[in-house]
Amino acid sequence: MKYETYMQNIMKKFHHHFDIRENYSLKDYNFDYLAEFHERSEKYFASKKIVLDGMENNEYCFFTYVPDMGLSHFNHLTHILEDALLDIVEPTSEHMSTLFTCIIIAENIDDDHTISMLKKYRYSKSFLFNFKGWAKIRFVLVDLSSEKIYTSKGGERLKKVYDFIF
Amino acid sequence: MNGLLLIISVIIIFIIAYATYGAWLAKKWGIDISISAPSHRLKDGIDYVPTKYYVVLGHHFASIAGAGPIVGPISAAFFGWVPVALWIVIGSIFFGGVHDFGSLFASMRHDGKSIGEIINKNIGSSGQKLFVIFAWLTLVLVIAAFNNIVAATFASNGAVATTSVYFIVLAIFFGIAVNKKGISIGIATIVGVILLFVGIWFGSAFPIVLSKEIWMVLLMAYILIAAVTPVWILLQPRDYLNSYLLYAMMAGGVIGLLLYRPAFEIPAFTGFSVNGQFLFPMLFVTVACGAISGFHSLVASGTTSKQIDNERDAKKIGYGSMLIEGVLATIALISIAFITADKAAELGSPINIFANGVGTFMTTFGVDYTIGSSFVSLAISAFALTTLDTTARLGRFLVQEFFTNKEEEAPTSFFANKYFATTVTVLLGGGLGFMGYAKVWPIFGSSNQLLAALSLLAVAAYLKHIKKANSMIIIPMVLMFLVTLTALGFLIRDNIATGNFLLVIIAILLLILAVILIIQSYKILTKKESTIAE
Repeated sequence: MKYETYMQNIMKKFHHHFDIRENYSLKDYNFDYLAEFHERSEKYFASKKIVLDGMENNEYCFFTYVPDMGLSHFNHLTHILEDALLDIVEPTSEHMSTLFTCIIIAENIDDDHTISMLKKYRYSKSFLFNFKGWAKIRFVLVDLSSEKIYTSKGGERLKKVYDFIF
Repeated sequence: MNGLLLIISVIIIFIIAYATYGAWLAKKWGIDISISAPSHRLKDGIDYVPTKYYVVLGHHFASIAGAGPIVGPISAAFFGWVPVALWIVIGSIFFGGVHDFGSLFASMRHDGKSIGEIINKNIGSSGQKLFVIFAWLTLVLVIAAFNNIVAATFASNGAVATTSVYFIVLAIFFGIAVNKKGISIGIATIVGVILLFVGIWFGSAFPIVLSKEIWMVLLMAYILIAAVTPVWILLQPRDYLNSYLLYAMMAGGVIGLLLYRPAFEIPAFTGFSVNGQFLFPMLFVTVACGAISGFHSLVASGTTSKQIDNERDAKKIGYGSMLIEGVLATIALISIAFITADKAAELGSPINIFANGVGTFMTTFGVDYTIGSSFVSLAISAFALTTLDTTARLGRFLVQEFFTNKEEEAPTSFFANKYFATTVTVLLGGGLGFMGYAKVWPIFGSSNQLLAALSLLAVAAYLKHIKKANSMIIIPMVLMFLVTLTALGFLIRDNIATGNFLLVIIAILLLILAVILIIQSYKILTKKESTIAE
């Protein structure tokens, strides 16, 4: 499948629930798309005027097209996202979770070592022992040539989502 | 089915249960009116204060009947009204009533000490330590949640805030009048109840407007004081007077039901699995206070057992108040059963649904709907404050017991000092309220029911020790362990998926605690011969 077709199929599914931006720059990196999802739920007592607490869950999906994917590119992305995460997340008492998902769409993958490093990657951060929520970074690597999906630790459940696009 | 038939049936069943099963329990356990109660033997004028049964009943009932018996049945009604009604009836009679009565009785036989001390004497000291830490942390969580609830209510409705402050002042005058000035309790009650209703008008006339954060701090200061002052000056009279609000609310609901006779709109039964929620264990965890709640055992073995005048009152207070709470839970169930799903969605919160129900029922005898439903909301807010200050005191007891030298039975450690014990409880609870307690609040349902199972375990071990029948305890205990352990399993599974590992860790720790205590007590409960506890 071609990159353009794959992305069109993804965006068709995402636009119902996500706010989508094209050409999004983060640090020095330019992502093709950013899809954002923000959810806020509130608990109240008696009437809706008496709000007890709120819960905020956020997801940011960063899409990037990389014709030839290699380890150095992957490492570069991890640094960018790890730095950005600390800038973007606001760990208030109402913050519950923030997920960064980086979807790398590649035509070719340099070697198996890149795949193996991506599969081993895990990043999560807890704010005040989770009382102020937590944040995670997950990677999804889409190999267009073999139509295979690889995910980092904690992102296993995403495999089905991106596999389905094929 | 209509609401009238259900409420009448429940009340008749409860009266029969009280007279028969309650009396049978008292006989089997050997309730002995010749034994001097801890309130007399250990009288200190602060925590141990011998008190008339109807005053203690008011305190106990007001403390256990916060929002729980209202929120639980309404939240569980998506399974249909039949399973909820059956669990309220069976649960109150054979589970909750036995649990509350048993905890109160066993505590009275252990100098009015907590369930932790009963575990210490009858199962082992390591079990006691684990139980006390667990129970204390649960209370800290309750303080965090109720501090938020009360502060949010006060901040959004200044009239409720003024009325609640007024109730506190009124309670102090009532306590002094009855306990120091020798005014008869009958006259003081009549005047107190009239002034209680004047307070509702006073609140509307002079609302106090402050932010939620300021109220949270003020409430922390209030419970800090309320937890250490003599029980007769504030906690006891406030709960006693407040209980009349609850009685009035319930009487209004029942009388209204007699005239309104609402037909049920919700289905009788919707299935064993609804929207991914299984009837077992969710029904039993959700209905909670309406049938059985571990928090009740902490109240029974905390403040109530230190005030009760004689063992003869234990059935009235322990068993009786659980059955009254069952009636309240039934009214709550009817208040959701008679409205459509659309109306329920429009009303939103269970408290609002309950206020709408009772407000509607009371219109049949001339009470304006707005006044009726506002009165109900006010009464529930008052109970949230009652739960809050009782919880702070219970937390203080647990810390003191934990650090008290068991040999000398005196608070020799600095940590057993009542001011330290209260401060650490209130600061941690209040601080958690500011920090994001909602992330761990979902554990409360399971931990509360685990408390119930462990309390039943402690009472069963005690009855075994004194060679009394304990089968009436064992059966509910086994079911409550099954409920809790299954619910904790579901909680762990669901939160691994969402990534809330704080909750997962707490749930695993609770599972370990339950297993340790089950293993420790298994030998004791299955032993054929037993020595009598000293």
